[in-house]
Amino acid sequence: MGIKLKRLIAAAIGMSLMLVPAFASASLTPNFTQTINAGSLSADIYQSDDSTPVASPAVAFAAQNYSFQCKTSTATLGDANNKLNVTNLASGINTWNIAIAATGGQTSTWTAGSNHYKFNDATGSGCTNGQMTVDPSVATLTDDCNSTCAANDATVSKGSSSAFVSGTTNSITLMSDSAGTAWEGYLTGISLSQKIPALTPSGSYSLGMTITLTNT
Amino acid sequence: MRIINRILSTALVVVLLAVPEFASAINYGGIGGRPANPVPGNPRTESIFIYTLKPGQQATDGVRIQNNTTKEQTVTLDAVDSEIASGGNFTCKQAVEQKHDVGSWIQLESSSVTVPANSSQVVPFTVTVPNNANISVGEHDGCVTLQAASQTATPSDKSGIVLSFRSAIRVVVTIPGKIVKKLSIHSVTVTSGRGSTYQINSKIANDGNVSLDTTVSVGLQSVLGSSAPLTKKGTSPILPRNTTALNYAVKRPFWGGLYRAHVVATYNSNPTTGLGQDQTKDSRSIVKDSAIFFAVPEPPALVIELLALAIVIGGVYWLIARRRQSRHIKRHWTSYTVKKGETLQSVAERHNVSWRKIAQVNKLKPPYQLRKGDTLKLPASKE
Repeated sequence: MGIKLKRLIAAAIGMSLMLVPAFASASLTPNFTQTINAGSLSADIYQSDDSTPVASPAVAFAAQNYSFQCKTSTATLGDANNKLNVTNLASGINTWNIAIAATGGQTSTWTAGSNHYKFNDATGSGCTNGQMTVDPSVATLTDDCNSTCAANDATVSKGSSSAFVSGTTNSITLMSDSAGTAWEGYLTGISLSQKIPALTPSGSYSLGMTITLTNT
Repeated sequence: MRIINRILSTALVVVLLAVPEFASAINYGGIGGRPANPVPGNPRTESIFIYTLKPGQQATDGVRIQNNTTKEQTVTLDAVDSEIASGGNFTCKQAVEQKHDVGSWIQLESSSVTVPANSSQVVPFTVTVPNNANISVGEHDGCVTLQAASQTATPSDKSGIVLSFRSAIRVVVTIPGKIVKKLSIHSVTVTSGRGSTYQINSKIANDGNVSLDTTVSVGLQSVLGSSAPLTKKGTSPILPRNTTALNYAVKRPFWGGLYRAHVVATYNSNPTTGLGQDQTKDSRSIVKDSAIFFAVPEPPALVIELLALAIVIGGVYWLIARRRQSRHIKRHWTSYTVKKGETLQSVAERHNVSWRKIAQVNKLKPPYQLRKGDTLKLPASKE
């Protein structure tokens, strides 16, 4: 390429570089905007990374054999890969309570095809028709935030052990917060225990349950 | 080619410098909801819905659904009655359950809404109290619930417990009339907590007809008088005609001892002050203590206390032994006159007693010289 052309291009580049800053300072001052959207109070089951929701979370109970005796099957709600997480980053004071109940209401049952047994019948210490006990008090409550919101740990508490009783105890408290300030954390190791009546037919039983996080 | 590269580079620089806007957003939490029209001066209405309506009256409002996820979310809304969960806590009935109270008073403009990622949407609703003279005066509670499609599960193809999630916002409708505010502390007990803590368990009963936002302060008070100041543990809603269990952890006293748990519950006692309005005036405090219990000291304190106890016991034992010895000497030792040429050693040998004991009892000082005619106390027989 000719020397003249090279010089011409270099001059053009030089002029561009000199003109653009002037142009920017005159009328194209970069604006940096940072939007912080309003936070929310929410709950979900998270994977071990503490941010990815688990798709279709389920809790499996230990299998029991067909028996002439009433059996007790146990399970754990919340582990290292399925953390019951609550995030309270909504502005203001938001006292909250998180509870578990049968999605279909107190008439729900454990179902496998046409076979059923109950989760909320106290007759015969739960053995006559089936009863589930939930014990959040043995669970581990862990905060998942920095030292600022960890200071709010003291007002977050676990629920006490309770059994479902139709018409009396339809929802069981897992966790609650009486201060309502910013906090994030999770519960693992909630103990579940289900009394299975004698001679319950074999099958893969399921029960839909809903965890409700209520702003109180 | 080089020419083209240089031109393109220049053009790129110009373009970059010409772009004036850099924008980003920070988002917190998942999917949640909150009142769209909080009442100025009532901070509680930023998180729950609060109305005072007579039978036949109506209120119009909206719920703001916040989607702080990175995906568009379809959210199902519903209005349901409230119920009490274990421990006396507020929660909401399920969508399939029949609505008898506030759940039936709320009409949502839409039962489903799609909210783009990182944005919010308002769904209007009305609350209409039936024109029915039988509706009781006082507080009625319900919920507006939100459930994202991604948080809904069906059990048909799974075994075990199949979990769904939903958020809910409490709706408080007060029917005006004779409002009764009456709180009492049913019981206070103390149990062992995790680590170096005790758990103070209180049951607080609301025998009135409206909920009371109650500030609870707890602490351990020594029976001997000195105690740490009470710690404010937050404000909890105690629902009407309900007993709520509130449990708080407190640090174990370092030195241990006899203590009782002290609980103070403070609430606004003015029947004309509504939920969330100025709670600082007309506040009333009720107090209850637990039974006296023995607080185990922390391990370092226990070691110190045991050492001190050992020293005290040892000292008492030494004093008693010494006193016994004095009494024995007084009863059984007799006076003896030292003869010429006798030494402490020779006197001790003759009387079958150690020379040290003779020196101790007679308070003799070194070099323990004896003179003829000195009087000594000596045992009557060998010891």
